[in-house]
Amino acid sequence: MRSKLFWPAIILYLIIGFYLNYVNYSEPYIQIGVEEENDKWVISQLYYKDWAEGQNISVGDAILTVDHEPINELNQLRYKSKILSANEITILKPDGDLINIHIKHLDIPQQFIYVLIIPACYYLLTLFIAFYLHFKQRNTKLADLLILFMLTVSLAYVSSGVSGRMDTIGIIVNRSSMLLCLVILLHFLRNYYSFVKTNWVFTNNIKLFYILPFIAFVLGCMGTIYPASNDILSNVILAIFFILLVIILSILLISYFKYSSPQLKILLNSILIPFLPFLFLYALPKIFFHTYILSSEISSLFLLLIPFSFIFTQLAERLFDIEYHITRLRYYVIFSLIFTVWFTVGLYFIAGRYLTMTVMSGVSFFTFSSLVILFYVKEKVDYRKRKILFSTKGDYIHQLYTAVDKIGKTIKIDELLEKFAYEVSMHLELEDVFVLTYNYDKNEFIPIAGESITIDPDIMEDIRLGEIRKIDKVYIAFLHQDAHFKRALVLGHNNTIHLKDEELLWLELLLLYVNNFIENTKMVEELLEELKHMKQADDGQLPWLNKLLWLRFEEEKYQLAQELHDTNLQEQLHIAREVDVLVNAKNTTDIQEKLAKIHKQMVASLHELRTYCENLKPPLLDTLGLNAALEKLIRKVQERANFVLIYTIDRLYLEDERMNLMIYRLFQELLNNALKHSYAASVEIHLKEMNDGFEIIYKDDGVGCNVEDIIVAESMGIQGMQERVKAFNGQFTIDSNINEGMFIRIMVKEGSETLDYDAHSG
Amino acid sequence: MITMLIVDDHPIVLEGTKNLFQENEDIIIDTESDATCVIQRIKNKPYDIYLIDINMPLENGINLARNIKAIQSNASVILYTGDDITDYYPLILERKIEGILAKTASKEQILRTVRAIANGEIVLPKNFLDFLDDKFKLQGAKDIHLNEKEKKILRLIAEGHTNKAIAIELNIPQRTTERYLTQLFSLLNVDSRTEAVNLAERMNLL
Repeated sequence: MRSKLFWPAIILYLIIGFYLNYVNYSEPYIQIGVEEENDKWVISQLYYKDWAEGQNISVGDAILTVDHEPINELNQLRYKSKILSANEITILKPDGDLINIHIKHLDIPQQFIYVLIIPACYYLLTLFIAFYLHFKQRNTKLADLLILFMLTVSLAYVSSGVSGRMDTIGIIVNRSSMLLCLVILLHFLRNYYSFVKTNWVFTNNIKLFYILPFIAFVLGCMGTIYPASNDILSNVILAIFFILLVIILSILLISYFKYSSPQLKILLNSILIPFLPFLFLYALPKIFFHTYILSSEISSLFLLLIPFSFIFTQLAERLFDIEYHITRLRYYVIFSLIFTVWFTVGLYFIAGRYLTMTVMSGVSFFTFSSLVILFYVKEKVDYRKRKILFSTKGDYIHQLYTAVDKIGKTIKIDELLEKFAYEVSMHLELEDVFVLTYNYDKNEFIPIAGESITIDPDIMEDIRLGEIRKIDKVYIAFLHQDAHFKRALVLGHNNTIHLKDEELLWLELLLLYVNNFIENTKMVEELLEELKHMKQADDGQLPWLNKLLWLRFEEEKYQLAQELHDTNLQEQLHIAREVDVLVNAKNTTDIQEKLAKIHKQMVASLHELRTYCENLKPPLLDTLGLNAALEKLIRKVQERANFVLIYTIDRLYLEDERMNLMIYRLFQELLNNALKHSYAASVEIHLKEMNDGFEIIYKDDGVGCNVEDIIVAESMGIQGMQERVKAFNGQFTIDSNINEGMFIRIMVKEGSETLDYDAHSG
Repeated sequence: MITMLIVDDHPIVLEGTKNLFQENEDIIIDTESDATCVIQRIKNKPYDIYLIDINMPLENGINLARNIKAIQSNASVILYTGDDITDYYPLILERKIEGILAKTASKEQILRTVRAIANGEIVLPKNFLDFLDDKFKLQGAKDIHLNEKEKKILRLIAEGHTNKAIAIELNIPQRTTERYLTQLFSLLNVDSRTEAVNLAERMNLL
């Protein structure tokens, strides 16, 4: 599109434009109305009256020749009874004087400015901007459309003067380009909408509309063949032009009220306002009343603004910048105006008598403009000295607040930086925002995927806290520094975006926050890491505990071995020796009797061994359950005890099976203590079921003891019991005094979160 | 002809016990050292008598006895243990086993017991009567009185809940539920849910 259309369009523009400008230049535009009276063309109306007076031309004079040719042969008169342009005319005054008038452009300044100079300037300016956009463009399709639009507008404008002279080519060009520029604008808007991701409310079939300029072209050609139809055709073109304009405006209005984005608002304003004079002062009156309030030249001057107002769509994608400047200006102007009125009224009352109106208005104007300038100066000074800024909607504080809020929720540095870059990119509407990390041990950047912008390491080394620098194609802002890395935020501006003071201040503050955030986040990260380590250490068991357990096990094994060695092993050795004697005995008479004796010894030894095993592993606990095991234990105790043993054993339903072993051991320990130390006459032991656990109550009427003493002395295994109970989250209470017996109460509850029996039993 | 399977996890004991029967041709002996294989094995070839060790690592003899009787109701089980045999007398009353032998028992005692049981008789030491005395004394002293938890479980059984449903209702693992039920059944001296419920209704336990 770019290479295909641009150069043909430029060449066409150059050729047509050159011709049109030449026509404008070749003959001044004089516009003298004439009427045919008695075979003479008599002046009936003079457009440039000042000039006519100066040249001694007046209504009623007869024109003989125009540009050395008889007036009858003048081409222009075929369309209208007007002499539109000429270099030289000869007129016959009613008194018979023959005056030959040379007309120069400078003779009539109005036509010189409006018809020649401004169009020519506009023509050249458009050409220049077209080239500028072409070589500077970002969005090819949009830029091309914009260039085409500007070129056609320029042609329409330049040709308006030429068509005013009833020049054939001028008319054709003017009519075609008038419609063409609107169709291109429509096309441009459609594309721009999709570019800014706004819904297009009109038909997408823009190509169809390109028929209209073609029709205009055909009509223009017809107009030159049938001059009489010229006025009608002109009105037809104007009507189509008007319809197209209404379509475009309604599209903008509808979508503005529907989506009300700042881009649309500016688009609307930039099209609407320049068109208003042309629409209401020229086009509408011309259609309805066949007259106009403002000439097409003057009213179309406003249209010149349109193409330029569209340039922003190419140069800055950040439309709100413009909005920002407009609101700020409006704000300052309103303030200045109010104060100026106040000041002027005061001045009038105080010194109105001595001052003329001119002085008063001069003073007012001076006050007004000084105030506006003052506001701008104040803004600069405030920013430099106190970091205070004008803000359009308080946006700035709010944005900062939300950005800080969003960033503050992260706990990892990488995530934090990512979010920060995202926030900055969102708020400043920049695309290329990323955090650059510089390792100054190795003097190198840590590469980031997809980012190709390179920065001079010196700048990175040099940049200090709170600094934002504009270099080559990017802004670079210091972010954070630690022992190994320096981090900087890089904002690509590509020479098209200039950050405003407000935004720089916003960024600066945010950088300061983020710098603190990073520090804090690092601390949090370190703490988390430490916690993780601790947890890992916790997962693997504590080494000292393992060692202790191992030592305890070894000690226990050693004791077992020693006991077995001292008792059972010796007996077995003895038996083996006896058997050996028998095997080698020569006298076999009483061998039967001796074997029987040995068998008896062996059975006794076996019983001892069994008792030993039963001590190590409580019998029946696995097979017949806790109650049977406890009953057996109690029976055994009763066999040996000198006291009356009263006991009750509830049936327990415990979730944790290992509890049974603990209960058994507690019973064993308590009863052994009773046997060995209590010297009691009666002992009571009870196992009671509780809501979600059990209770053991032990009572004796024996000698008792001092509780502190036994705990310190570590005798009676009291401490061991206490520790075991605590390990199962239980309570152990002991109450005893010398000669007052002993009372022990043990309560163990199973975790309520695992066993919630009562809640269900209702 | 008597067929008998000896189950013991100690190969030496297994061999020794088998040797006791060597001279008796009317008793045919098979041995098994893995308690968990027994059930599968006897499905194909049932035996008249099972001589089972109690303390075995993978499955204890009492459980094995119950499982055998579940699939072969006419099986006779003799527990053969190094433990104090008096502890296991209740199992005889509960008809869970037919006899009990100490591992220190003489060859004669063992042969006599096996033959007697094969003939439908029971041979027991004299102190079994002491056990019975105690048992009746205790029984007379306190009737079965169920605690709240046992009543709750029984009610749930009576309502036809599965073990799983009971586990959910009591908020405990299913394995624990099974343990509770075993304990409750042994208290009531019943073998099944239906029996337990019938007994509870009959005795107005609920």
